[in-house]
Parts: sequence; C-alpha cells; structure tokens
Amino acid sequence: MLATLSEERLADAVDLLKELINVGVGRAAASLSELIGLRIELSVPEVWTSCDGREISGALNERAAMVVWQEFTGDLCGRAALAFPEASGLSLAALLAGSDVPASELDLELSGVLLEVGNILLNGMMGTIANEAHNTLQYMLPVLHCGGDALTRVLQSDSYESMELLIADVRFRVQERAINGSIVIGFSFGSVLQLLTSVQPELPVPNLESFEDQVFQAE
Amino acid sequence: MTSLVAGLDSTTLDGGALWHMVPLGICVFDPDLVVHGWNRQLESWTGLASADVVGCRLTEIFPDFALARFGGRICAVFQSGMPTVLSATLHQEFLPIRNGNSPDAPSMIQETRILRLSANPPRAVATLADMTHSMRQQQLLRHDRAQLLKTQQALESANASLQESLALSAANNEKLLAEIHERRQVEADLRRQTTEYIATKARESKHRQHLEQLVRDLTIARYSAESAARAKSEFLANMSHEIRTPMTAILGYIDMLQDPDVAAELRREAKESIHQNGEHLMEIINDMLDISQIEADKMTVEPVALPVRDTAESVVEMMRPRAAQQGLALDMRMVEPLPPTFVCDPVRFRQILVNLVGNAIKFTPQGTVNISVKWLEPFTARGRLAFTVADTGIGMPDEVLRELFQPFVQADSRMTRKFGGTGLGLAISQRLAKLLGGEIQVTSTLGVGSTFTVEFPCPGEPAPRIFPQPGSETKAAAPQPNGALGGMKILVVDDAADNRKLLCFHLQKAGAVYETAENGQEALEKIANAADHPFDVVLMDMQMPVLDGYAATAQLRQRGDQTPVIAVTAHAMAGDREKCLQAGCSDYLTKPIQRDVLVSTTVHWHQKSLALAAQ
Repeated sequence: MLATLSEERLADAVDLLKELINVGVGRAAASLSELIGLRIELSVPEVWTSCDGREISGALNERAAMVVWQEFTGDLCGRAALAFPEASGLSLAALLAGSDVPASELDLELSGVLLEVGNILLNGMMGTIANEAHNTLQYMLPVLHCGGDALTRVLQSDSYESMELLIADVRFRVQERAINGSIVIGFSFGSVLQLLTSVQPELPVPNLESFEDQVFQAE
Repeated sequence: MTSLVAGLDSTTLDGGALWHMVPLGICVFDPDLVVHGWNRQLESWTGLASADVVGCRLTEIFPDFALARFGGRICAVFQSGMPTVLSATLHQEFLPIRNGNSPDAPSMIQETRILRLSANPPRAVATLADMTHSMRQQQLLRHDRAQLLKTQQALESANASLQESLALSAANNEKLLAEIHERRQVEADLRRQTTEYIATKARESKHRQHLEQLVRDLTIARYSAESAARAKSEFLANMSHEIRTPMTAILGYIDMLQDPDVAAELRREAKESIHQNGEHLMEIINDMLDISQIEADKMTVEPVALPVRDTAESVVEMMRPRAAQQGLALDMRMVEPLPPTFVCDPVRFRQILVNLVGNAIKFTPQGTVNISVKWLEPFTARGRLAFTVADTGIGMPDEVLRELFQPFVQADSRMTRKFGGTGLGLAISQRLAKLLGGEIQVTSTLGVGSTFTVEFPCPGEPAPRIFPQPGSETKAAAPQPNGALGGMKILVVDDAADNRKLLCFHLQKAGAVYETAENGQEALEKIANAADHPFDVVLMDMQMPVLDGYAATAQLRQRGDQTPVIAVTAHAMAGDREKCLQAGCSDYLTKPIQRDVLVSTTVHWHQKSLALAAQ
C-alpha cells in the first residue's frame, strides 16, 4: 500500500510518522519519569519501515528478548511493542523496582514493573498517534513476552495476514545507565496508508535536523 | 452502563456468575470515581457490602485513596480508552485494603488493571489481584537469592583465595621441590665428595702404608747393606789375614832356604811348609771365587747321572788319610735299598761332601765321623738321596746354627783362627746343594756333636745312565813319573818371567824340550819358524801384552794349525774355560799350576794329537 504513494510523499509521510513517534515517545517518557521519579534521557528515535518482522528483529542492535506489546483495533489495527535486549530489560526493571539483587531473568516483581513501563510508554505513543490522526482505537491489555526472539514472535502473529511495520529505535538512559529499547508498531495491511492519509493534512513537514535528544526530568 | 451493571448483576454464567467467581477484586467506577459495581471478592477483602459502597466515591470509601498518584492515569483511561496497568512493585496498592480487616493488619499488595468499559456512559473497571503472598514469596526468594549470591560471592572469593593460596602453595611447593632438588643435589655432591674423600684417604692410607713399608724395606735394606758391608769388611779383613798368614810363612821359609847353611832336614820341612801354605792359599782363593760366583748368580752346575756307591766311596777314601792323621775313625754305611745312580754335578757334589766331611774331621778332636747314604722315600717320585755326616765333635750352639749358612757371616771369627778355613765352606755348600735341587740340614748339640745331611732329588725310576766321571781322566790322574814328557817339544807362552820359569822347570823335570815366548805374537812367529820341527803342545797364557792368548790361538787355528794349545790362566771364573775353548784352545788349566795336572794334561793332548794325525 505504501507503494501507492509517490516517493516524495512517502518520504514526507515517514518523516511525519517519525515526528509523531518522537512526540509520543516524549510524552510517554515524561509519564514514566513522573511515575518513577527518575531522570530519563531519550535519544532521537531512528524510524524506518519494513514488511518483515524478522528483518526488523535482525536490524536491531541487539536481539529483543523482552517485549511488552499491546494490540489495538479500530480505525487502525495492529500491535505496538516495546522491545528490550535482555540485559537492558532486566536493568531497567531492577532499577525501577529498587532491587539491588542482580537478576538473571525476570521474576514476578520485575515482570510486573516491566509490564507497567511498557504500558505507560506504549500508551503515551499510541495516544499521541491516535489523537493526531483523529482515530478512534480500542486497546487490549498489555502483554509481556520473554525469551528468545520474542519480538519476531509478536510481529509474526497469525492474527494478521501481513503487516506493515513502523519501527522507532530509541535508546534510554536512566540513572546514568545505558538501557536500549525499541518501540515497534506493526500495522495491519492498509493501516499505515490510512494513518498517513489522516495525519498528512494536519501536520507540517517536520525538519528532522531540528530533532534533538529529549530529556525528561521528574518534578 | 446500566446494561453493563445489569449484566453484572445477573446471575447467569455469561455475566454475573463470572463477575463474582473470579479470584479478583473487581470494581466498576465512573470518572468521578463513583462506584457502580463491587464484586464479592472485594466484599470479602474489604468487609464492605456492595450495597454499602455502590454509589459512593472511592475517595469516600477509602480516605487514603491515592488520587494524586492515580488520577492522571485513570483519566487517560477514560479519555483514550487505553488500559492501564498498575504494578504491585511500583504502587503496592490501588485500594488501601487491610488483610483481615484489622487496622493493624498489613496492607494487601495488589496488581491492578484498569480498562475502559464504555465511553458513554463513561465506565472503567479495575481488576485487583492479591499479590501479597506472591510478593512475600518474591521477597523471600529475592532474599534467598541475595543470600545465595552472597554465599556464591563468598564462595567465589573463598575459591579465589583458595586458588590464590593453592597457587601460592603450588608456588611454595615448587619452591620446596626446587629446594629439595637442590638439597638432594648438594647431598649427592657431598656423598660423592665424601666417597672421593674416603677413596683419597684410602689411597693415602695405602700410599702411606706402602711408603712405610718402603721405609721399612729401605731400613732393612740399609741395615742389610750395612750389615753386608760390615760382614764383607770383616770378611775382607779376615781374608787379608788368612792370605797374609800363609804368605808370611811361604816368604819366611823361602828366605830360610836361601841360606846355604840351613840343614837339609830344615830345608825339607821348609819346603813342606811352603807347599802346605800354598795349598791353603789356593783353598782360600777357590772359596772366594765360588762365593763370589754364587753371589753374582754366575755359578752354573752340570748335572749328570753318577754311580751312588762309587761317588760316595771316592770322597770317603779321599778324606780317610786326614781322619786317620787326626786319630779319628771314619765309618761309611750304605743303607739299602739304594739306586744305582743319582743325578748331580760331580765336581760340586764332591765339593759339598768333602766340605761336610772335612768340617766334621776338623771340629772333632776325638771319636768318630760317620757317613751314611740313604734313599729316602725310595721308588717314588719324591725320592731323595741323603748323605749324612755325623760327628762326635764340639757341636754348635743355636745362635751359631741360625747363621751357619750365611755367607760373609762368621759366628765366631776366633773359630776360623783356631780351626783354619775360610768359614765360607758351608755357605758355598748350601748354595751349591740348592742349585742342584737339594738342601743341607743340620742338627747340633754343643759339646756332643753335629749331624749334617745333604739331600738330592732322586726319584724312583731313573733310567740308569752311567757317565764316566769327567776330570777323573785328567785331574785325578796318577802322578806321572819323571820323563813322562820325554821327547816332547813344548812352547811356553807367558809374559810373566816367573811363571815361564816355573813352567819350564816342571817341563824340563818331566823330560820335555821347551821354548818360550813373552806374548802371542812372538809365539805365532816361533810356531811358524818351527815348521820343520813343530811343537807338540803349546802352553798359552791368555792375558798378555802385544797379542793375547785368545787372539794368538784364534790366528793359529785360522792358519789351520791344530797343535794342541792348553790355556794356562789365572782367570778361574765361570765362563773363562768356555771363552778359552771358543778361541780354539784344546784345554784349560788354572794357575797356580799343579805339576801333576800339568804333566798329565800335556800328555793327554799330545797323545790325542798323535791319534788324530794317525787317522
């Protein structure tokens, strides 16, 4: 479906999406910072599109072994996922839970924390997109998947015949710790075009060079 | 909302039953937090009946409700329809519920999910899961895990420290091993050095013993040499005396003979004394020659088979006049069985036996001298022929017996003075006996007498080979009457005028015609000049100036002249005879010349020459 857009318009649309995601991630991070009372730094997300979940998984810097994802339906259908490499997921969860006991895998406590963090970030981002696109979306409860190539498993769900994937790769820094995470949104076939069509008239073409890293400080 | 609540109130399985059956606290509320639904689990947890809470605000029901914390998130749920998850870890509780409904009871830890049930009327449902036990378990697990990690760290630390200490102990071990190795090497070195030291010590000890032995040997040798030198000096002094004594008598009597007034009887006695003293001088000189030859290992013997009886008897018969002269009986006994012959050097055998019998006679003032011949262990391989001479003489003490056979040692020099002789006879006899494979043994008692036994090997099965006794033909020849050399022409060659004169005197007295020459050269000329009437015999001195006897004789033989040449020489040492014969001499006579021997030898060779010429 993306191919139906001219190359120029496609580029513009992608830029717009990047801006939306940037704004959404920013809001999400602000919510998280507010919640946990810790300073969170976010890098400028790297955004690209693909049709292959495995390609996405392979393109990430590290294999995403911990994934919190939420399914959404309505004007747009798909799945939004927050994916962490194992070390980063454990580190972030332990940091937020205030645990100083090193963990080799997610336990009940850490998985609860990670699930809530995913819920906040995904809500923030999807809320922004839905608002900007004037879409009405219904959301399922967030789900946590761990182990192996969890992201590929989430994105290759049988629920959708095929998906167009929008990927925003964001790096977090929490309490001076380097924690990598990626937000991946998989839209069902046609949803991206719908999204682009709906947002394009409203949004100015963003200047990507004006993008800067965002810092969210809990008050 | 009504339909939902009504649905929730229903008791059917597709609504109300589940609503009350799930082990979750479920609460339905609106944006103002007014409760519209309260399931039984919540009733049970809070002790608040649904009827009492429905229609009330949550903030009224729970004054501690954290509106500030959850307000925004709840609001977002209603606005965007996005569900919210409130984790037990981050929030502990959504509704402040006490377990057991007591104010002191611990708070219930909850995990809450808030979903928008409907946008119009706006309703949200919160489901609360009691996580108290799970979190407690989680905390215990985490505590245990922390403990385990701590233990692990401690173990790792201990392990590391153990490893370190192991490494250290390994290092120490290596060091110890190295030290042990080094010590072993040192020990081995020490052991080797000790062994070497012991070996060196042993060598030193051996060398020292050897040196000490050498010193002892040298000392003994020195003493021996000194003793020998002393003995020789004494011997020489004695010999000098012994020679001087007869020489004095000879010279004195000769002086006396030169006096024309001396009576004829005195002249006869003087001549007899001169002869006796000359004989004694000869005896001394012969003994000296013998002992010097023996000492120089130059003495040789020529054993031949000798008839036992004849040989023994001839000696006894020879000595009988001397015994009789002294008034002694000389008995001889042959103990049967006796072998017909025994192997011995005839000259040396006679010398030994004469010495033993002579001594017996000499040292026996009265009584008898018994001679016996016995075959010891007859007819066996160890058979020996023993000649025993027993006397009833003065005998000898043990200290004399011990050194009786030592040359140059005279137990009592006075003995020699008293009894005469050189004192060498027994030493010579013993040496000769040993050269002939035998030995002289002696037993003696002072004042009773002595017994000397000489034994010679005489095995039991000898082939009886009888040889004529050499010497008997010439040396034991009967005295030749005057004129025995009648008609013979003899050349006397000697550089000493006295010897020439003496020889000529004897020849003339025996009826021979003679000529003289003073050296070999002159002799050769005289022989050559006398071709018409050649000399029958030549008496040749060997040591002469111009041309000595050896060269002259050799030249004579080279000319093909076979005239008998009899060597007349003062060289009486072993080998001299051979040297003369080798030079071409027919026979060999030693000075001083015995008249009878000279005559008989001359006759013998003249006759032999004639016989050869006749052939």
